[in-house]
Amino acid sequence: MDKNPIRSHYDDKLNHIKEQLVYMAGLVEKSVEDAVKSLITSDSDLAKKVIEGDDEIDLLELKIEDESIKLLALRQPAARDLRFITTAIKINAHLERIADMAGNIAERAIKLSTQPPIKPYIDIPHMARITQWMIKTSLDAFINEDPALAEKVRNEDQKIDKLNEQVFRELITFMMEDPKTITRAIYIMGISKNLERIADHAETIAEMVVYMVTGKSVRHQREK
Amino acid sequence: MRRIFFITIISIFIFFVLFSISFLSNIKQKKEEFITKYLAEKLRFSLEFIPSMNNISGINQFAKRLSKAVGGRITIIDNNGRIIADSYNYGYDKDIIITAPEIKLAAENKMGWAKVIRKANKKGKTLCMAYLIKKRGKVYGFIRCCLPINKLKIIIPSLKELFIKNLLFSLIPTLIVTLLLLKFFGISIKGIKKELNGISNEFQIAISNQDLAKDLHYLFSEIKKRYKSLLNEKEETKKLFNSMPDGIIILDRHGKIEDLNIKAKIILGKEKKDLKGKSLLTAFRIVELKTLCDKFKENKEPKKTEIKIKEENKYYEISLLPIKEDKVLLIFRDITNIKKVARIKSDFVANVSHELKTPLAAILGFVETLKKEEENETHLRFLEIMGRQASRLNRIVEDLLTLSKIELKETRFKSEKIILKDIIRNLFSLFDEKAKGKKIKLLSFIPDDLNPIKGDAYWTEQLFINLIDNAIKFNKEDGKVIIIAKNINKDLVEVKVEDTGIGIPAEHIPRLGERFYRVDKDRSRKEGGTGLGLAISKHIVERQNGKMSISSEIGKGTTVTLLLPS
Repeated sequence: MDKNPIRSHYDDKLNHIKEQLVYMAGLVEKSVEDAVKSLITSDSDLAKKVIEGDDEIDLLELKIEDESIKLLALRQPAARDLRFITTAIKINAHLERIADMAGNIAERAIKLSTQPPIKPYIDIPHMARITQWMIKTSLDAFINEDPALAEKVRNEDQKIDKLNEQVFRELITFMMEDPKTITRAIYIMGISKNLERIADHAETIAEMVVYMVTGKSVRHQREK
Repeated sequence: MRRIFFITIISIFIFFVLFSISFLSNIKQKKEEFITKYLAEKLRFSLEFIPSMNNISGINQFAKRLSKAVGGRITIIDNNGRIIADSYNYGYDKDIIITAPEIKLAAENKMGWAKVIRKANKKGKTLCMAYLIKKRGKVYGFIRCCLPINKLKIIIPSLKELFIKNLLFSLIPTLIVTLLLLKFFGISIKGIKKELNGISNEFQIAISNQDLAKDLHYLFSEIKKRYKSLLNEKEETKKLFNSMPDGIIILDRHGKIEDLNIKAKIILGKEKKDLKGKSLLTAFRIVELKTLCDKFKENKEPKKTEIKIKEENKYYEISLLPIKEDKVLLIFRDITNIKKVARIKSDFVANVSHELKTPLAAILGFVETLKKEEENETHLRFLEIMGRQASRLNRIVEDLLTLSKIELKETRFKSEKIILKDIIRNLFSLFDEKAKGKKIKLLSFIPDDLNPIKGDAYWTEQLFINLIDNAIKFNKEDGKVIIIAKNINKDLVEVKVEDTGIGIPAEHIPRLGERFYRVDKDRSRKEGGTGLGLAISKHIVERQNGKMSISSEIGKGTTVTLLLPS
């Protein structure tokens, strides 16, 4: 079958943006994983790597944004393609924010690496696993244009909120028992909060995927 | 030859068709005209020789001769309409002759002649012509000739001209068409032959190159045969491809999946999805794989690496191979079990070594205590041997522990900037005494602008301790140990540790680095080696993403070359 060369070139560009986003998401997932790992193993080298790795993600963000805007300006896409590119630009920004938060976690991990842990980390790794799954699945939904998968991600966010509250309550009891733990507890709270924010970003990505595929916005419409 | 024959037959056929059409159409039109003209000429000519009307017998003979010459019936009639002579000898009806239209018409015609064509019988038409017999302006009677048109037996000279004209008319276009046909077929056949030769060369099929039809038939049957066998092979390969225990993915030049086997889909957990045409990253979402392929595309060297797939907690060894048309072959080999076995082994070694260390410490301690209190010389000598052997065993245990730690990757390697010059300076002072004992010179050539090595300072020092120790141990008296370093590029530093020792036979070099592998067991033991030094060194270099190679010449010495990241 003969392909329209102009359309084909345009499709290639769209696919390239998709590909770059997937790559960026992969890097972001790894950042989150490594940041939490550096906290658990008190590995400040790994935490430093996460912080250094943020530069590559920042560059990638600029590149994807630039390519998307060029495509918007030159091709003036409509309907589904327009929704795809605008969604890609937004996902791009969210992924970059997630990477920043992974960097925040890594910074706190470095500070905590020199001190003994208040207690073994159980909830934080669990939260990290869920947030990683949420990032991965929301991007899967984006690639496969699958709103059902995106919906699953949206439902998972509540678990993270509950875990965050639990960590918060637990740390308060530690601080009340022993004021020496306050500094460490606040760092861990920050980590937990960051993970909770990462989950929120993943949820927003999922919502945008629903909008991209169906054309209907589901933001700020959570069932209660 | 068949071709020429074929063309000739066609040409002849065309010629005859054209000629016949042309000739027949002309004949049909001209037939009556010819006969009329012919008869008119004959009759007019005969008028000159007609005898007197009174000479009955003479005139009768004349009629018969003329009839013979013309081939028709001749009747001579006088002015009163009486038949004087007739070439046919049967009785005739006077009235019919007189009332014959041609006679009437001839009498009326100023030219003195007339013709009438009439239906004679069922078989055909008859041409009747009458002429006035006129002599010196006086009319004597009529001469009449009747001739059946269809039974024309006479040779008409004008027909010959017509025939030649038609022949020429048909021959010229026939010749032109023939020539054109010959040229066209000639060119086509030349072209076909050329193509045929091209195909036969490409498929390596020997053709006779004489008979086009035979060659074509042979070529097509051969190609058909090969196509069938290719189809069979393809099916077999597909079956083989899908039944392989390793996952295989073929990437096209753009990095998109061209083909993959069932095992690859299972490994990557995408059994049900159609992944062809997708990029590796969108299909599997493994960033390491993409990075690996990108790096591979830059240098195109076959590469092996390990990746871990998180969800299944499995390890795979991935081999990347370049294939034709810029394609890439990815082979996934499950090494989870191998890893497990290696871990069990290392765990075992670590545990055993640990268990051995505790009693050894006790033995060494008690031997030392006994040595201080013992006065009997024989006993002292025995204790001395016990102490020496226990220390050796202790070293082996320690080395084994170190090795298993590095192998298990439990030991974390830091990423520090190491100044090689400082390390070597410290080590040379450490080995100074030992070197002096064997009269060995320690030399180093390390440029000031050498890039700092990226790695773990402790383990890098251990690495050079092992290498310098070996270089001194297996050196000759008055020998040298030389350390030379240089920058290869901004990411790589080369360090050479050379000695002027006994050298290593070539067959042993590939096996250096294996545990407990010793070139000269007696000498090694004498020198107090454990056989683990090089194995540890090799692991340290690999853990720091470097490379170690050994070259040696018997009698001249050995060089260990290290490529370390900077």
